[in-house]
Amino acid sequence: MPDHIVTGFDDDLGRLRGHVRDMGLRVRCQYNDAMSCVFSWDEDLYEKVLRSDDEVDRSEERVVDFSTQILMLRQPVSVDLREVISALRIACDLERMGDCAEHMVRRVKELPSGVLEDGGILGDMRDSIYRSMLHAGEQLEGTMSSYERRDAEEAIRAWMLDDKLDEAYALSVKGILSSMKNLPEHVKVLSSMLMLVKDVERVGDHATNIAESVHYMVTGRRLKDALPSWAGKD
Amino acid sequence: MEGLSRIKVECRGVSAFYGETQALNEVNLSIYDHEVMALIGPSGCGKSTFLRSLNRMNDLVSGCRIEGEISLDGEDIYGRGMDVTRLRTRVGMVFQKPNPFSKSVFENVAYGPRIHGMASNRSELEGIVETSLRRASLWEEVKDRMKQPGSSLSGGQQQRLCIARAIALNPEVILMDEPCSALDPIATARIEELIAELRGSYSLVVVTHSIQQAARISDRVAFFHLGKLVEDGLTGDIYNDPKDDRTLGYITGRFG
Amino acid sequence: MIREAKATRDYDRKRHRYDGWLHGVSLCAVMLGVFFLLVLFLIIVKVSLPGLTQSYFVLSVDFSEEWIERGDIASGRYRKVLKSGFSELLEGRGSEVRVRDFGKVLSSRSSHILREMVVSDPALVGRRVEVRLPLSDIWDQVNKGLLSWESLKVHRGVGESLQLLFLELKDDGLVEEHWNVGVLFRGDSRFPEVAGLYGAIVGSFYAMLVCFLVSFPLAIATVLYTEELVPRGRFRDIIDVNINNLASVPSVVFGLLGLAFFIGSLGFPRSSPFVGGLVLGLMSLPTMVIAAREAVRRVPVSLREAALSVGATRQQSVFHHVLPSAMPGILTGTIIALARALGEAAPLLLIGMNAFVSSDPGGVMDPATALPTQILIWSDSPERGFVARAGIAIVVLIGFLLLMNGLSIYVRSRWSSYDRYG
Repeated sequence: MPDHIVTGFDDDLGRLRGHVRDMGLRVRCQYNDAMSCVFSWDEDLYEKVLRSDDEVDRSEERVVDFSTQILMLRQPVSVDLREVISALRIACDLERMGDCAEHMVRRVKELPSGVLEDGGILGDMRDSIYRSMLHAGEQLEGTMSSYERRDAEEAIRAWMLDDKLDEAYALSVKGILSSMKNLPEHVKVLSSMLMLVKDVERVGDHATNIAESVHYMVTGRRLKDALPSWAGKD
Repeated sequence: MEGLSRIKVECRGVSAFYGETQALNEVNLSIYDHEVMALIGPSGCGKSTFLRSLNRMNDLVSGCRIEGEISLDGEDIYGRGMDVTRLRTRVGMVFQKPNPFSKSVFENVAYGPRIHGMASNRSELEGIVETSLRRASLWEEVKDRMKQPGSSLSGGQQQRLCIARAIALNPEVILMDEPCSALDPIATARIEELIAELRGSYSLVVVTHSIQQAARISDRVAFFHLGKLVEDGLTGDIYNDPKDDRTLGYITGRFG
Repeated sequence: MIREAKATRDYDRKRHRYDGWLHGVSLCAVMLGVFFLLVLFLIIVKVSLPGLTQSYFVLSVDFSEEWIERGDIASGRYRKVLKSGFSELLEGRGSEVRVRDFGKVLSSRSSHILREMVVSDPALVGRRVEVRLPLSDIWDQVNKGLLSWESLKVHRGVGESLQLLFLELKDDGLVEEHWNVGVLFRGDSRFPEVAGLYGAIVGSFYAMLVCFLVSFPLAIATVLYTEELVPRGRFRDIIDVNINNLASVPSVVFGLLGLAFFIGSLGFPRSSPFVGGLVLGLMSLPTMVIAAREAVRRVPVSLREAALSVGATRQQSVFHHVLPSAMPGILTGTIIALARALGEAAPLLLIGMNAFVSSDPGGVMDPATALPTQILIWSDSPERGFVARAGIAIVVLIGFLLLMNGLSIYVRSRWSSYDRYG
């Protein structure tokens, strides 16, 4: 696509993308740090995750303000309009992801040490929980990468990673629930873990939304309507 | 929706020449009944030429030649049997700069019906004038000023007077050549509102330079470029996801 | 930076000085023009002043039936009436002056004036009336102090006794001065004291009427042809240039045309306002066409388009919209062309509208004079009274011109409230 005749328009869109990208970077950092905390507690990392939440919120405000300004000044249509609307939606999803990461580390703080160690209360669930967190992280990486590269196919692939996450998540939930039955005295700890795993699933959910927004932004069509025949609908 | 609307004006292979220069190149376009069709495109793309060929105003320009077929309700308007003055009562026109006659407000609207013998007595004529002014949303503002010259009205009122003048002939199609470009935003908004109302009774073809205005007022859009019709279709489709890159470039302000 | 500022200031100063100089020069030009106009105006006024009044003598006459038959008033012997009146007066004063000499004091047309009086009022027959008769030209000048007694004595051989008698009569109040109304209502005459412009005014009026009826429709038709029917291009440009050239043809040439063609070939009556009107009409035609053409061209295309867009035919658009819109300009141009034609003497001279005509013209075909030619005739005449009267004729002509120009301004302002394009 050639540049806009009014160069200010292109500058504005560039800055908007920059803000969204920034926000994405922060959230990825935040999530990765949170994931580290779950498996090897670090007090400093915990503080860092809490602090970055403020910055993520400010990033979201910037994206919203800037989008409003572009809508007012440039009256965009078609591709440009989709770009602005998508930026708003992606920022919203990223902000929620940030919240999820924050919840995750808060829960871990409450847990007694060694829950996920070998021989710990949920030692045998460690693997599936780890995998679910990993997949969620991959989804986040994938969708933000598809945003930066404006690649609809990559968005679809990131979207489909949700299947793997769902699998790991289901496994984790099943394991935790059966542990609850077997070890009723640890029900509090186990509920916390359940919540934590739920947060991870939510991260994946938001990443899926972002993938849909990216696809719509690039192609103008809903991702679900554009799935190639080799992808299952559910 | 397309199946329900009748085609009012059908253009096939329309080309226009000013002497040696070609202004329109094989344009195929259908204009539907009770719809607003917006014609957009950069300057010199031929949209005004196309508009004027719909009521044969191009006949006035010496050296202008129209080829191809333009049919109104199936009748070729450039055919031998077509009476140009009759055609122009069926296809009315509103110009970019309001151009009321140098006569009173009443006379401006009454002139057309009078020369075509549409009223058999004075009170019928007055009735036609009042109806037209009401339809053009101007009656309340001028009913006490009917004898004053048309030029004493404001710009927006003058344009509505010109619209009333066109309506008075009971046309089927109303052509508008950038009707709001000489008006302030409030007058523009009133004309846009009027266009929305008129849609129910007439077919409108509106040439506009404003991309946003075209999106607001029209059911269909046709994009012209260098004398060719690049793309046409329902407004929502064209603005969301145009098929042609040139269309996308124009509506997003990237034209290059 | 400082140097730049100074250079700019110098440049600005020069510019303003130039502006001031220009202002001064144009003001001087205007004042020069005004000055000459004033001089002209003052000269005309000075020359015409004496003609504003006419001296009259109060004479007692007896319209005795001895000389006037009731049945045939017109052939009464009014000279006798006059002479008897003189005799009575002279005898009554015991003057030595002879009747014949005294008769020269009054106008030679006095007896005719008496006839006119009785014809218009037959009841005067058999009555003794005091009449006011105009003094002859020379004595009129004397009365106004414009001719010296010396000159009278030496050049005209007027004796002392007559001089004394005159002064006596004047002292007795028998010599009066009245406003010279006759100059507007009487026809031309050899004698300035009874000469008037009526015939010339009527002649001019008829000529202008014919001129208008000939030139106006032709001008409109010409303009309609060139503007509506001829497409833009070389042919139209050639027509335009030729019309412009015709407008600068000397008026004398049109007079020759009139003489050779209208009078010579077609045999129309010489000296008639009809021929005069034809000639003036042809002369005014190019100017009118130019004014009309400009007025029609100034009508914007958008007006025509508007008319056509409601289904008017070309003819309807021209007659209902273009012409009415151009009419103020056309009328203004017409009135100005007519005003110019009113003052043209040369072509009228050539077709003979300078004949001496003492009876009023009855119709357009009767010989007549016109105002400008009358001015020439009077200016040429030796009698002193005609000098002042020529001045008055000039004032009358200018008066009509001002009236016509005022009319064109009025027409313009009245119509332009309706015609707002601009």
